Amino acid sequence: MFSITAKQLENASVLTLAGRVDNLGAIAMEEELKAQVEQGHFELVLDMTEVRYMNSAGMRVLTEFRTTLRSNGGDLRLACLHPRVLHVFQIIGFDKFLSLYNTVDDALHNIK
Amino acid sequence: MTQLAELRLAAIRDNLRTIAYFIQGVGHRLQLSDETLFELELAVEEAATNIISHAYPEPPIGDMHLQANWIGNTVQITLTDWGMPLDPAKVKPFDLGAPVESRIKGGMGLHFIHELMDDVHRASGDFMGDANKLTLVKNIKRGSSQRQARRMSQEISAIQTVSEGIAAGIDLDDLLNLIVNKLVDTIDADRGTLYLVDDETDEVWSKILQEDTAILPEIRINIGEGIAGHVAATGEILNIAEAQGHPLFNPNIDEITGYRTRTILAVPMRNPQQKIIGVVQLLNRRGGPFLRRDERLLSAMAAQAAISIENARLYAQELEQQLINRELETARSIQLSFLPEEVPDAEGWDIGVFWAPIHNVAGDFYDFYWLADGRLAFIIADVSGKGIPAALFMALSVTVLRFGMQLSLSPAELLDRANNLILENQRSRMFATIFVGYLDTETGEMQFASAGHNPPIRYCAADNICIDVVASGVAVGVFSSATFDESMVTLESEDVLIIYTDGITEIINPHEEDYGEDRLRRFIMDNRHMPAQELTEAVIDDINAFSEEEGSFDDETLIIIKRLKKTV
Repeated sequence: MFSITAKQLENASVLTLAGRVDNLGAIAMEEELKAQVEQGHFELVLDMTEVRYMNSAGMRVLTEFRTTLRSNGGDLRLACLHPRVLHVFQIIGFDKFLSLYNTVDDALHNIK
Repeated sequence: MTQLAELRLAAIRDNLRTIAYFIQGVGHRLQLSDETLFELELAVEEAATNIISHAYPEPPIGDMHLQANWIGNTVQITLTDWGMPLDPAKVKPFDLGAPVESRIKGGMGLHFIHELMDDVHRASGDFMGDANKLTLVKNIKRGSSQRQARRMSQEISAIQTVSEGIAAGIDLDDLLNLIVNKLVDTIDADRGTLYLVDDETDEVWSKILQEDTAILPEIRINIGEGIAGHVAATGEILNIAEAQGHPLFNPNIDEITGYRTRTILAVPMRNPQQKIIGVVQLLNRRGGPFLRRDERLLSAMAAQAAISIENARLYAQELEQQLINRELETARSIQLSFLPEEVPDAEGWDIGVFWAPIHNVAGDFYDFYWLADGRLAFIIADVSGKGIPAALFMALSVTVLRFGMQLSLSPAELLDRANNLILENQRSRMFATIFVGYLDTETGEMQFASAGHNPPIRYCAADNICIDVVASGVAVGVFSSATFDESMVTLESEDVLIIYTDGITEIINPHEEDYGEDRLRRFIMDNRHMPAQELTEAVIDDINAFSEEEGSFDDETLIIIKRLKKTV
């Protein structure tokens, strides 16, 4: 239902998400993000191409980790949002404050 | 109004996936666009999450009920719970201007619901236990084509028939027949078969078989083989336009029945946990191969059939559970008949008893018996384990002990004999700790022995202290060579003897502390003036207050014997 795979690049970790980020998916996502932070990876790019569903639990996890990553000098970047998921982000105004990119490459290029 | 589907389940997080499947099922039936389905799913999940976290914040966890209705171009999902009503004053409006960190704290789910739905109604009860209803309304843009509309209403009517059948509680076989018939009609196929998975043989078998010749009583196919077996193994939908010559098609059945299969549509039936429990298969659609929309309708109806089968199974389980409960009730009343009907009335003494099994039946027991020499014998015992096995072992122990007392055996002899008889008569490796006392009600002298039972406490009025009444010995039912010491103690005026099982002292509170003997001693000393029965109940109240509703994990038995002040 939900899977997340991590790839370590030179300047960031790219996490590829697939499936539903519902309450259970949010827990799985949180675990992977936590593991990344514990390994000292603070520049994270989430490839959201295959995510067609996200609820408020998922968004809570994203904002919490964005704060953690930023306070450690990194950031959380989201790439390739599906229009439906983007719409949900817009409803709560998250689109204006999360770093969103059209492609993973765009996201990677914006890391200083 | 058309009721599309309903679902009742426990308000726990694990059930959110089932709710998602439920909404997806509704979406498929109404052929909602992905967009609309997504919004409906999200709103319902947020609403259900709110029920789980706020309506039942602590156990007991109740149920929630979902009902999907089709009302004049809207789909309406009503979520009902019977927990804490929502207090509108406590709902903070979602603030889009607030900093993002505080934005995620709460109210986000509700904000989604209101943004994504076209209308939201709420009817909250006044108290816990009243029904709280939240109805989510979503307008559906219907297809413009007249044919599509007619088709849709036909399909909804098929679903309605099935829903009504389920609501009316008709027999499962009839209901499944009805489902298959309705599917054959609606999709305009020639005939249909409903297969169920047989986990024991790894086969699917034809629960409902539409076939005119009555040559075949039943079809059984190995999972993985043939059309139905393949669908059961993989969960794939098979839509076959030309059956003859298809690698999975087995022509043997046609040969037997003389039927000629041309087109086949087979879909899996999944239960709410997504396990494949069967396959629905339709044959020979009139006017060409099966269409994509037939696949969707058949899938939706298969889901409905799966829920019916699951409900019937749950209903049968519930009946079975009721039967077990009734047997346990019987066992309990038999066990109660083993216990003394009343507390003995001994002049100059005051006796109180408390006995509570953790399950319907207990491994704890106590007994009073007037010996031939006029002394009052009492026994308390704690059998290893709980429930029925412990109760059966208790019955054996009671019988052995009573028989020994009739033979006027001394306490140590009694335990010795019980040990040997129990070792001879049972091979279940159960054991019991037992304390036996013979009390001379004239003099207060008590002869006693213990088989590994926790020592009773004697409150000694003359010195205002508590002393353990100790005798050595191991539990009965363990060693054939066990020996039991015998001792004597005299209970003086206003002394109190507390005999108990460890369920009393080992009760724990939420901080994992146990009640313990010290607390019991102190409580007895502080309250020793109470009449014995009142005192036993006060002890129980005290341990319950101590455990803070953590509840007991063991049977509890408590006997209090007080020697009254001599009246001249």
